[in-house]
Amino acid sequence: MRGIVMNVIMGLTALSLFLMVTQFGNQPMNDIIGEWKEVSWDYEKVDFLNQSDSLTIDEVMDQTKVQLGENFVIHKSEVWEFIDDNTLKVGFEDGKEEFVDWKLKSKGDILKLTHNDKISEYYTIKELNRDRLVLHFHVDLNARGIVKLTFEKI
Amino acid sequence: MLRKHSSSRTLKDNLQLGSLTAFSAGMVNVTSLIIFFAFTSNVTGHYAILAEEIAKGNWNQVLMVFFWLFMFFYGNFLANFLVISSSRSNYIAHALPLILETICLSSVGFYGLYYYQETLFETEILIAIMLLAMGLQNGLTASISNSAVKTTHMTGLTTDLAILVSMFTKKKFRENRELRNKAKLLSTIAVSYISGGVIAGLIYFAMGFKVFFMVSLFLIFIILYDYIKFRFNLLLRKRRLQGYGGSKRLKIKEMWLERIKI
Repeated sequence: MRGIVMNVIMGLTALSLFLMVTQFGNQPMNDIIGEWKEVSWDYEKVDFLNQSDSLTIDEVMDQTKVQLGENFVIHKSEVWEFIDDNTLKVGFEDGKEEFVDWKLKSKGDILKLTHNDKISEYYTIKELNRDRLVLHFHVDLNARGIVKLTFEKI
Repeated sequence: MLRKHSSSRTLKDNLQLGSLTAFSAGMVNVTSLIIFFAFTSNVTGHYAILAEEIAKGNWNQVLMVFFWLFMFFYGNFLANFLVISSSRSNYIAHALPLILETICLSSVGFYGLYYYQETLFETEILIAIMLLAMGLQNGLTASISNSAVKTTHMTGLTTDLAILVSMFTKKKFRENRELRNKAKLLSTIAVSYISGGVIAGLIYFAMGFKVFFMVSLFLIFIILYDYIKFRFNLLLRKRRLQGYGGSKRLKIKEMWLERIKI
């Protein structure tokens, strides 16, 4: 009898948690919708920055891309608009626009961007609130350094 | 492999159960990592994330991770409850958690194949179902093997294996048959887990969500293996008995076979 009661309690707890998750589990989706302005782009622990002062930032970016692979897309001073139909409108400095498919994975802490050419980028969402979005480029564990993109809500 | 309980289990029983279930756990974990970016066969990381989210005050994330942990807990609870509650047949009691696990994983495969839109809510719920499935499997294997077999607990396994390897530097421990058997079991589980993960990764890139059906087929094989083997042995024995034509000793044997029938 006690076993059945325990099973009922467990089942009801699981059901209650499920209902609460349906109510509140979508928060990252709600928070990310809107227009974000990229305010900084940092790459930590890169060797060649220390080796030569003569490299320009573009050369550093290119070398970073070689190091991290073709899936790494460099974003600079862009405006990202997350639309609720899973489309991300990326506005460049020169006025051009690109439309990218966006999805949240795991518990809403992984951002997957898929470009028209099917190349996908993955970012770990380190911070997301109404004013600030901090993304870390999601790299394999053997790649050193963190690429950090910081956005502020417009 | 599924019929025997606790102390009556042989090394062979544990090796079979450990290797096959670790193989499926490796498949599930790697697949969930590739598709959903979340681990589903181990929860140590989820505990760390839960603590981190509590510290940050992200209560919706706390709720989500707690839900996942609870599903793993519930799977373990349910598996052990089924094992200890059945008085009629060990086999049915031990097969039931695997049947439930098969249902969970094939549901994930079916939904993923035909309905999955990659929304966050779907992802979170599918991860929860996979954690429930892994909880069922872990609870079953640990329960029936008296905690000798833990197919999803690689941290503990690596620790135990390292301790054993360290002990084997001394001759008196190397000659201990029990320790050698334990090392054999742990290394078999580790190799099976990795193999399952590698194969699942390869299958996923070729077949997508159908990989869950492969895992389900694998679990059905585990469920049916003992049943078919037992029935086959029973049939052979009965045939042999019929050939001898009914001495008192053979009749007693026949009665005994009837009594342990599934």
